[in-house]
Amino acid sequence: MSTAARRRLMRDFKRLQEDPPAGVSGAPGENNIMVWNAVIFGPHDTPFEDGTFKLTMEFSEEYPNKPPVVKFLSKMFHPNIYADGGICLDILQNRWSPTYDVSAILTSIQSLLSDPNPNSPANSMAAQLFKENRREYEKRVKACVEQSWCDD
Amino acid sequence: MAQANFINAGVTSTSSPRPSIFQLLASGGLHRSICPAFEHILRLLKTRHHSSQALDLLYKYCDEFWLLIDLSLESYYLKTYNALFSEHFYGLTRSFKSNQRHPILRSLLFSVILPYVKRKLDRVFESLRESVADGVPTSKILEFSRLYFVRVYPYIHMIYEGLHLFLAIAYTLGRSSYHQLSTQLAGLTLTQITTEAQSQFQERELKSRNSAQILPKIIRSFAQTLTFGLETGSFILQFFNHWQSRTEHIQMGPTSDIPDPPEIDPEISKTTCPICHGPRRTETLLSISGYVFCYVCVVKYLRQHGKCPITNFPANEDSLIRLYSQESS
Repeated sequence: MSTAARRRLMRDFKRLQEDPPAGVSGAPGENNIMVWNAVIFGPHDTPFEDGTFKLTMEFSEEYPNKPPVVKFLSKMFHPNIYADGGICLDILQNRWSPTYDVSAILTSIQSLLSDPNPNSPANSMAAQLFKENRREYEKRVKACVEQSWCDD
Repeated sequence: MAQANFINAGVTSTSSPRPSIFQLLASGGLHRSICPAFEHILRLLKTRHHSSQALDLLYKYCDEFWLLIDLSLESYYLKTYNALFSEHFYGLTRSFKSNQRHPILRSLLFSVILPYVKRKLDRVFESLRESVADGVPTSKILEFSRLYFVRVYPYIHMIYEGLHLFLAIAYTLGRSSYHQLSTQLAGLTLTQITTEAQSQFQERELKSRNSAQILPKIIRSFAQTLTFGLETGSFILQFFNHWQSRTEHIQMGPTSDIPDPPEIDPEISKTTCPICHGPRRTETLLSISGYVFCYVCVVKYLRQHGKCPITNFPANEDSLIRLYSQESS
């Protein structure tokens, strides 16, 4: 069945393939276009470098008027990512605009990895280390990066 | 009190305790225009601080917030002056039949809650009418009741307004002692304030001023600010009107901040809709921000969020303009 949300997701997918942004990729699940799997590669010159972080994106029929639910499947250590993989990012909550598409969401999450916002922490441990003990923070992130190569 | 005295002094030469229809209509007009004024102030604030969550919420439930403020304000006025705020402003007072119980509650019910319900129904009707016209799908039972409501409501509205007109005419001709539905239902009549009533009010005012409770104090100072604001506001408005007419060549600046020019992605903006990212169908301009969308996309978003999808400026369906470009015609 073709609804506005599904048509829009097909367009998002087409745009993602024709004009792929650097360091992210994503595709709808095999038999459900409303659930996507995505991968974000850790940005260069950050502790997340070389990581391959997997995410799921669940869209509702109200997309793009409502944001999708985006979660990391890989275990993350980041000031704005909850223990369950949920992401504290303004454009996925109150500053969502229907003009965003999948590629914009993934690039925003990628830039969140390089620029954490320790002032609205979802992981207070990570936020504290980020502010006070950068070396320990980077060590914990590196451990996540290595773990991200192993999980399926 | 000053304005009540002033109005009394102006009319005593001709008046009986029965107020003229003009006085009643003017006080009714004031009563009805305070809520839209409140809404307008909220909209202005929201335009200035369009990322504030609290304002968003306040604006969305504007009617309910006003209901709360109105209820506390009017109950204070009814207790102290036997009149609504607007009626007291025009020097009127409510006289209840002696055998009636809970006169204040009845007044609040018919003068504050009834108009609120009517306003809400009007809004529901507006949104339902358009969703019927657009053919937005729902379940069968909802569909039926929606159609039924849209057909019947205009008649209810007509009867409601017709009764008002009828009562106003009957009152002017002296056939009825009620000039509008709310007073008829509450079973009370409006009369001019007499001198002895006025001294009674002053006594009550003093009493409430001396009481130690905080809430009545807040309400009282709010009421006083409102009265004072109305008096000075109308004076200043007159003054500005006069001044404006003499210096018409001086341009006043726009009332709201000018938004930053949008970043235009030439690929997207020429032919595609920013919401569905597909070719625009039934091109429609949102005049608040100047962006062009598919009609279906933008209407759906506006109904849910009440703001421009790109700039977040508050907007509604009234600011949509259908575009007829050469290609689409």
